[in-house]
Amino acid sequence: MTPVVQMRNIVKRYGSVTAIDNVSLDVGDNEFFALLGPSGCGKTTLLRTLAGFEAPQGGQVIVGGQDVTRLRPAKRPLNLMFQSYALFPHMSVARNVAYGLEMERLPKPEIDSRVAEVLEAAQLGGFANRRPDQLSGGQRQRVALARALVKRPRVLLLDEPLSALDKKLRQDMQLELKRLQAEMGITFLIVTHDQEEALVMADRIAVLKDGKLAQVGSPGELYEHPASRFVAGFIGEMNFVEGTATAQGVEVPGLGLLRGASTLTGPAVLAVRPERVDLLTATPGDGRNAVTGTVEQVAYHGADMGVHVRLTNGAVMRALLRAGQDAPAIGAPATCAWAAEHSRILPE
Amino acid sequence: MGPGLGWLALLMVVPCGLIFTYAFFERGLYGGIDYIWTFENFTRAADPLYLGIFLRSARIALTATAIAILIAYPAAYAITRAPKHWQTALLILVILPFWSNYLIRTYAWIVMLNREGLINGALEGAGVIDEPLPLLYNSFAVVVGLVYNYTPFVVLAIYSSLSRINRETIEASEDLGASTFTTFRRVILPQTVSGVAAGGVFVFVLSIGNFITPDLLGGGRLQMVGNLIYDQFLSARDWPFGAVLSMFLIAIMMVLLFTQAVLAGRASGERTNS
Repeated sequence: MTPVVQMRNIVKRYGSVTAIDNVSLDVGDNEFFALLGPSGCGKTTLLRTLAGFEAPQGGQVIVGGQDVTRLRPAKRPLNLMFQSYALFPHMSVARNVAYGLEMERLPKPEIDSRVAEVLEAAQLGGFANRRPDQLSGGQRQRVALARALVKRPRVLLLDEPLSALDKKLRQDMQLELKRLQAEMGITFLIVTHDQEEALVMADRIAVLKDGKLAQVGSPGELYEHPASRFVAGFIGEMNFVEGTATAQGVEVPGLGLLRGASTLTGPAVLAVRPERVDLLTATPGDGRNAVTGTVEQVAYHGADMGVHVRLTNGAVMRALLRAGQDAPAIGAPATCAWAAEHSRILPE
Repeated sequence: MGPGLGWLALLMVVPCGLIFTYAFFERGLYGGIDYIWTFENFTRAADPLYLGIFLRSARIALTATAIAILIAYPAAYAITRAPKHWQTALLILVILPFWSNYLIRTYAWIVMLNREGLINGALEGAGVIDEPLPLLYNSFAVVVGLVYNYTPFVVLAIYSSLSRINRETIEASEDLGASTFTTFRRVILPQTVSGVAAGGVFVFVLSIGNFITPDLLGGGRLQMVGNLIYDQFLSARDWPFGAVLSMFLIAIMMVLLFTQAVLAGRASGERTNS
């Protein structure tokens, strides 16, 4: 994997606030890469630093082997798709898309054919002469995408590209973006606060927290092997039980020893995904971890069912039952069981 | 809308209707009108002498408008680029002159532009000129007075349309490879046309009908339409003829305001939901 984008020790401060704290990250050629984090984690600032709209106080940005840290946005071989789409309201769709090619001073016939081609690919063929305010949100989003892609950048940066769309359209566009990225062979670097979106689309995800990298890895790695309580809780759903780490697992007051692979000592947290937790009526005899409590709430989702169990130590554990299983009665005693291999023991 | 419409009728439509009717009667001996039906006032207004005054007024107003826009645009642009907490302070500075009276502000320019005034004095003192420049009592002085008095309105109009631009469209232009100047010409300027038009029409309409500034800074030698109308009502006591000239002036202003309103409506239609 040759990195097409290399960020080296990027530092960005606003007054006394450090928005990006010494972040180093490589993005490979043809990769679909996601910067994921809660709002205020610095992911958009990092993207704007790549695009050239923010000047970092420290570090280097290298794109395609070239140091672009001091280059203006216009001179960088990457394009940004803005969260607001930033379409030019006084220009037609075709003029919007042609704008970036006109800046390259390409001959008119070539501009026209490339604009027509990209509009066709974006299913906007019939909208060339419309103004942005005559389009739906989804169409505007595709115009913004077409306007950036027509430049054939090495890297396309996307700032929360789907956040303005409704849920159904967003899910369609997730797959559409992934297909487009694979077809065009362009590196996509997307910023999102939506972990589900990142899991669906990205080859690799970098999770940011408070301007620092929390973890970088494939969706599967982040989901199955989170490196911290923050990542474990941010991606997908997770049950946490606090206790003290030992060589065999976590010793929890009131619940006893819960087993799991552990390299830690001292205060720790045991994390287990709700879909790994089985709901039983009696303690299993197979050596699995088991904790008891009473059913407090049942949430029906259609495909599955979430059951909240209040444990004897006061904590809540959530188990996910597949469709078709009988819903337990509220107030009934229940045992939550999971195999030790599904325990993740993380520092507190 | 009900009471507003009533006030509008009372304060706008009735006076305009009065002026309109005056135009069709003969003048009274000591002002006022004699109720004798005539079209003579209109034929008199077609005299090239008055047409010339209209044209000269339009030229002066147009010059003042152009200069006011050229000064106001960079000022408004600079204010929008300033840090947020500075912008209000800067806008207050722009309208600060309005805290003093229009006449006083215009008199101040006499002090500035006089043969012995501040500007000539300073230039002579610096040895740049031997003879004082004829700065006062000509069309130059009138344009200066109009520009000075009306530029703040243009700054406000352009500022308001500049501040409504989605900043990301400016960044998008840069991101797509445009230089700063191209971004201004193709992305910023077109999105502020309605603000420029609103400010420009404002300056033009107020300038072409103005009679105080030409009176004080033009030295009475330079007549504009406003002075002409003023004289008809107060010196020549020819109300009907003054009414005809007023109607022409109002017609010109209405056409301009209407055009501007149509343009602004179209521009804001394009901007919504973008």
